[in-house]
Amino acid sequence: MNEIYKIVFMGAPGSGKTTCIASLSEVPPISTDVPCTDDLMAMKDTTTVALDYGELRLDGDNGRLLLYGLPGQSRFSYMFEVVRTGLFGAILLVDASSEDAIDGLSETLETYRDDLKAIPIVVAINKSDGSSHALGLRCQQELHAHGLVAPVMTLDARRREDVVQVFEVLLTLLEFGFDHVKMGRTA
Amino acid sequence: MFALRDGRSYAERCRSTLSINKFAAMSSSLVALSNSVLREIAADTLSYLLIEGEGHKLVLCKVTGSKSALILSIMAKHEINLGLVLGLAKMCVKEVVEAELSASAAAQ
Repeated sequence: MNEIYKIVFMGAPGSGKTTCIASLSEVPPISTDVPCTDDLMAMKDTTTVALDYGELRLDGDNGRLLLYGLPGQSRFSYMFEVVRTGLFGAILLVDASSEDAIDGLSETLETYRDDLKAIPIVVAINKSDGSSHALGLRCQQELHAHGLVAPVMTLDARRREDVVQVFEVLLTLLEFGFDHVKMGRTA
Repeated sequence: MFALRDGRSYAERCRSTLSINKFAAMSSSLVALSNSVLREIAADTLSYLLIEGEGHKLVLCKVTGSKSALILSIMAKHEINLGLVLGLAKMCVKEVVEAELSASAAAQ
């Protein structure tokens, strides 16, 4: 067994996608960050414009997990085509410290709604100060409004064990909630 | 078309009906990916990127010296000589950088 699985990290700019991949990857992550030139400059210096990439070897001889991060802005939505084949699931990150956290999630769900219906997804609230219960409920409402159902968890994207825990929930969803990945599996 | 490096249109002259916003975002992704590939495999940096189709060629290059972190994207018919496209790209970049310098000098 040396199968390759792919998961994708999605979410608004600054929600922690690049950080998650850096936390999990066993190889130096590849990034395509460039300096911001718009309102994002107030929040961070750089933004991803193509994809982030990392790799993780699964326990035993169970293959490799390929980690992809997509840009947060909907103008880059065509990048989903690059990662679609063999996609195993998606982790949607929400920035709890942002006033526009729900708007960011809503934009992601609106942009990728049809694709997200075909794969297991987990919503992960990042940068939480420990009082993210209300935000979690609003995330659930937003998911329902888009015809989606998914667990909502909190994580610290800088902590590898947090990211692994989210991945394990995704794996459980795949095992018990989906018969197979409808979009195909990488050989 | 000039695009900002984070994928937004800056200025363009275009005869076709393509979506400028999408073209700007794609130009940014292509240049960033090319930079990453060169950095990973050869510790090099991108001079220009050439994509050739059966009917068209696309040349993308960074506008070095510009304050605005720009990318220049030129779409040409396939029969147009690559040297001509690259030469025009260089002239175009030079004019933009000079115009920026003049504008900032006038503002002071």
